[in-house]
Parts: sequence; C-alpha cells; structure tokens
Amino acid sequence: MKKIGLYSVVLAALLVGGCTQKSVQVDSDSVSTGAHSNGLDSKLNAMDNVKLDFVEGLSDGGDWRNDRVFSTMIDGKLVQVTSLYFPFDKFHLTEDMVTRAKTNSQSILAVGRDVKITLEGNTDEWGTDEYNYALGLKRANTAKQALVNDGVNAATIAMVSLGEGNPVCTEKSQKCWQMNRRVDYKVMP
Amino acid sequence: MLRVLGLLIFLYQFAISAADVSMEIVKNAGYKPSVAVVSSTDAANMQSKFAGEVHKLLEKDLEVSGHFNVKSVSAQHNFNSNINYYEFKKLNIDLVANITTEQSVFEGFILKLKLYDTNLNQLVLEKSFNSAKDDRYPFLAHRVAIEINNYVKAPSIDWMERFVIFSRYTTPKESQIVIADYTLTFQKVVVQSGLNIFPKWADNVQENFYYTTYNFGVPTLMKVNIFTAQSQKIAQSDGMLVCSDVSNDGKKLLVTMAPNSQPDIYEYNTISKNFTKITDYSGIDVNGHYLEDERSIVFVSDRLGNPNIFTQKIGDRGASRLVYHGKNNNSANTFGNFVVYTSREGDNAFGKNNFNLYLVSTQSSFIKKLTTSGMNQFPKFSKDGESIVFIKTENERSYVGIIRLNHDKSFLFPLSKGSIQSIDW
Repeated sequence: MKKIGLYSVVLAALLVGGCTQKSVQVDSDSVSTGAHSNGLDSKLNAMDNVKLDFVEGLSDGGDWRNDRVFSTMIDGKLVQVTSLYFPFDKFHLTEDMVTRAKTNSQSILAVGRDVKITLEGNTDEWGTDEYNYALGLKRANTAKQALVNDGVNAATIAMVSLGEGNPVCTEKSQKCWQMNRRVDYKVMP
Repeated sequence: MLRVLGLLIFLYQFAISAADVSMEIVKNAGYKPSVAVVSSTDAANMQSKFAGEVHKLLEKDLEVSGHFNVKSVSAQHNFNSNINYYEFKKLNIDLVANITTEQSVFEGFILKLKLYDTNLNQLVLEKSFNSAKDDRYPFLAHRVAIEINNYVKAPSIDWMERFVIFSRYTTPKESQIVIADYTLTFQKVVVQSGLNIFPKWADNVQENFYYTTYNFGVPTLMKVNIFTAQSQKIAQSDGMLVCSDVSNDGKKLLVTMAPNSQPDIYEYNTISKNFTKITDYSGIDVNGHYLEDERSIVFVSDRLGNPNIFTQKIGDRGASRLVYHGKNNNSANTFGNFVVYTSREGDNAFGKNNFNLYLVSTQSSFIKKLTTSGMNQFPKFSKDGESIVFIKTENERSYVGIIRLNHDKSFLFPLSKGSIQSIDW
C-alpha cells in the first residue's frame, strides 16, 4: 500500500521511533477526576434541572378529510367559518377559496365588524423549518386581507403561523398534505 | 480564531479542486492507521447493559472521523492482560483499542481504554472516563474516540463532544426541545408542552440557548441558561419570530420577525436590545445567516417567485441572488463564506429524491452536490466547518446524517422517534 500524507508520517515515526518511546502514557488522574476535563459532565448534570414545562393548547377534533368548520356563539348569534385551503407552496386564494373567504366574512359581519379573530396559518410537511413558518404567516395574511377588504376591522384580527406544526393528519398522501395547507379562523366569543 | 483557521484549511482544500467543480472536495489524506475495537471479557463489562452499544458507537466514531480504517474483529480480551500483538499484526491492525465498561452500584458509568500499538508491541495509552449517569455513555465513547484520534495526531475531532439541540414535534401544536450528542443517541428533553421551536445555541460554549415558544399568546423568543435553568423573554412579535443565527461573540442575533405580518430579517443587538431591519420585501425573507465578516448575510427569499438563496450587505437595500441552480432552495446555513443549502428537486414535491443538499461559495462559482437521494433537510455546519449535520428521510425512515467534507463521506445514524422541526449544532 502506498503510504503518503500525514498519517504515513505519523505511522513511520511510530515504526522507526519505537525504540525511543519507552514510556506508557497513563492518565491516572482521569480515573478519579471525572469524565471530561472540559466540564461536559457538569453541564449534563445541570441539564437535569432544566425542565421547562408549560401547559397550554387548543385542540380541535373532527375528521381531517372534511374541511374544518369553526362555530362560535357571540351575543346569541352563531358565527360559522370554514378554513381556507391553499395550493402547494403558494399563499394566494384560488377562485373557490375567494368565494369561501367572502362567505366567512359575511358570517362574521352579521355579528359586527369588531369581532376578535385569530388566523392560524399552516403548511404541509414539505419545505423546511423557517420558510414553512413564513409561508403559514403569508397565508394567514391573505385571509386577513380578504376579511379587511370585506369590512372587518383590521385591528381586531391577530395572526399566527404554526408552520407544519399543527397538522390535521400525518398520512403520506396528497389529500392529507392538501388539508394541512390551510388557514383556520379562531373567532373569540 | 478557529473559524479563521478552519476557513483557511477549507480555502486551501477548495483551491485544489477549483479547476473542476465536479472533483472531490479534497484528496484522500493517504495511509490511515487500521484500528480494531476489542471489548473486555471482564465480568463487569459482560454484565454492563451498554457495553455493546459503547463498542458499536466507538467503532462508528472512529469511522466517522475519517482518520482510521476500522476493522471489525470478533476477538474479546481480558482488560487486565496485554494483547497478543502477533495475532493482530497478522490482520494488519496497527492499533487495538481494548475497552471495558462498568456500571456503578450507585448511579454512574465508567469506560476504560487501553490502546495498544502493534507496530511498537506496546501499550501506548491507558485512560479511564466516568460519567454520573449511565445513559450518558455516548459521550464517553466519543471521548475515547477523541483520545485515540489525538494519539495518532490526526486533525481534531473534538466536535464529537459538542451538543446538538433540536425541536421535535410530538402532537399537533406540541413540540419538545431536546439536547443530544451528535449521533442523537443520548437525548435529554429540556423544554416541553406547547409549541417550542427553533432552538439555537446562544454561545460557542453551549451554556445558553434561544428558542421560540407559542405559550404566551404570541411567538416569544426565550433564552435559557442550562446551569441556572432560568429562562427569560427576549422579544415578542406577531406572526412569527425565529432566531436564525448568532454572531461569533454572541452579541448579535439574526432573527426573522413579522411585526406587521411581514416576515423580514432583523439584527438584534443583545447589549442595546435594539432591532435593526435588514431586509425589506413584501414576500418572504427568512433564514438569515452571517457570512465571514458578519457584515453580510445569506438568506432565503421568494422575491423571484420561488424560494432561493440571496446575499445582502447589512445596511444596504439591494439583495443579490447567490444560487442559480434549482427552482426551490428554501433553507441555508453558513460557515465563513461557504453556504450549504437545501434544494427541492423534481416538478412537484411528491415524487422521490425530493430534497438534496448543495455546497457553494460566495467567493467563486464553486458548487457541489452533497446528497443524491431521499429528503435531506436542516443542514448545519459544525463549529470547525469540516462537517455538516443534517436529517435524512428515505423509505419512511429517518436518520441523522454527518457529512465529513474533507473526506467526501457521509454517515447515517437511525432516528427512532418524532419528527424533527429544527436542529442546531
């Protein structure tokens, strides 16, 4: 075997220099002083005390194959809104979704223009981390613009992107991915 | 300083291959010592439940280092007596790593190493390492690999001891922040409940980390000290808020924030606590990362219709397209002036071979494809720039991958559970 490069030098030194290297390197200190000189084990000890735990969460039920409908009673009136769905990697409304957005606006405006709404933007599992969260936000913003254009008070609309973190399904299918590319309306009573 | 040294090594290596971008990144360094890992026949080792795992992990570490020919042998050997050098010489083995493990009757784990050089007929290294808890055995295996690597004076593989931090989805709107070793064998959940995403080390010594939580109503950037277990709110923003990169001195952050529903990249000064807007575009600008001088950034933008990689000087308004390859390049990471990015390939997202990784330089037309199959995401450079960690999903199985750039090789470690949201190294 042709021996070139750094390791050949190292190994040659070991081969021919063997007679000069008599002592065995024994690091007896490390036996009693812990695993790592760089404090790695103490960091691991410290980590055992890091257990940040929050309790929160909205959960939604229903069959994921159906479009999501959110119903809220406000002052005795039923507000019913249906999620908007988007094409792959896009944040514009298709024709049928423009119609649906109008229907949602009408349902909200029947109660008043100052209804508090949170729009949650979602994506499918494709795409990567930050971009998906931004895409979810742009979808939420598209839904917001539709509401505002129809007369809903912009100041009462909040938006949040959940990226790919709030899927209604986890199947590896076109239908499932399609149902995850959506904006949910959360109308506050 | 390390970054500069690493970069110099990098530039030298790329200079070799600059004439032909399809060439290997670097030529093989030449002869590699062959090494065999031999477990002890001691009763304590035979009874240790992690003995087999340590053996496998050490072999893999030595292989991943790229500095050894790892030879699997079936031999076992009593830790308290010298090996038969002749037996190993016959197999062309230069180094024999005889290891033994012990589990303390209390909590704790010990890994001992005797390294024999068959060319010297000599025990050349004897060390022992312990850890307070036995599930930390991966770090002991990595430490032993580092010691063997140091013995042959090969380039440092100290990066094997660095922590990886990642976010893992558990259920809808729920994710955990987990700290792990580089193979993700050791895992420790440090944040859970609610949506906790985009963890990022806040400093080079890995004592603090940032992450985004949705548990306060709006996306909130948190900073956690692992020694005090204290967390503090850094900033809040409607829509989204992500810490994408931290400057080398830890004093500046690149964040993606959307105060007016518009995701743009901002720089946050941790001393003055001021945000400065860097990009300004009505579409999507995300994923900002500092280049070498920390006066320029690389980021992902859809300003040409599809996500792609751009550069911009901080303070300037104009952005320059960096990548002229691929229709959908939606994630990037930097080391010095090198950029690794994810490219979605094929006409739609639903075929095979969907995401591959590419390496480019901001200083030349250098481009190299790093992966060829599967869905490869979340590429992150190691601190020395010589390796890239990423997550690979193929045939419905997920792995953590390590690309050893100087050795033109990649290695995979199977991932058992959960879907990774984001990862930092």
